[in-house]
Amino acid sequence: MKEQELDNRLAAALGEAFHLAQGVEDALWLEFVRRRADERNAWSTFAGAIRLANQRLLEANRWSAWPAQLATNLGWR
Amino acid sequence: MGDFETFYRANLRMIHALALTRTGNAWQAEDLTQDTFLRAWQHYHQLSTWEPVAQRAWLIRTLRNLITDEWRKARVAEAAPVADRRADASAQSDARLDVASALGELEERDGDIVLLRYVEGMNSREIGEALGMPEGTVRRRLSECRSALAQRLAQWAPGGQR
Repeated sequence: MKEQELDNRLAAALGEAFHLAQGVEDALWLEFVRRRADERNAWSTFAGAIRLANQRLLEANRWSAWPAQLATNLGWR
Repeated sequence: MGDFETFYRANLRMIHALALTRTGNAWQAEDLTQDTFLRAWQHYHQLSTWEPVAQRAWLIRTLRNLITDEWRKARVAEAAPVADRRADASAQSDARLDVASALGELEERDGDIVLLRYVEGMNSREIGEALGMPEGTVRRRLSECRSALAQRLAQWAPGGQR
């Protein structure tokens, strides 16, 4: 088989094998959007915990306790 | 900053194909694909200013790092892949895994070269830039891979025996 012919046939075979139908592509995009939202929520929860720790420590005027308070708010201890 | 959905769709097939070839597992490939794009989303402010070839190189590097992390963790997933739940996916998926398995038998870097050439239609220079290797090396590797894959080709041809 000539190189060009082989090239064309490989392109056709691999292109077909790895083709993503429009419906599959759309579903993957929607799944990605869902995961991205989960990640944002997780970050927002984390940021919320930091804000809460800051607020409580400001109220108590106990900045030295910040790491411990943060760990408690995040549920790490 | 460009539209992330356009960026995602433009690079989805490449990343998914690379992940499938590397893992040989539909669920893992899908998971790694999504994780790669989540990383891209986190860095998109910077990434969106780059040329497409540099963006592809970044995605490929990120996927590679994620696969390495995955192997380290040796995490076994039980959930079924989203793609496999789709009605039209099963037959195509078998063929895809068969081709992925053949590419997986090549050296890792060679499998990447073949995919970028034949699935993405990139030329040797672009592949070299994406994978960080000289253009001449890409050409030489491609030539060797063509010969190696020629024997499998009859099985993949439309209507061929799988």
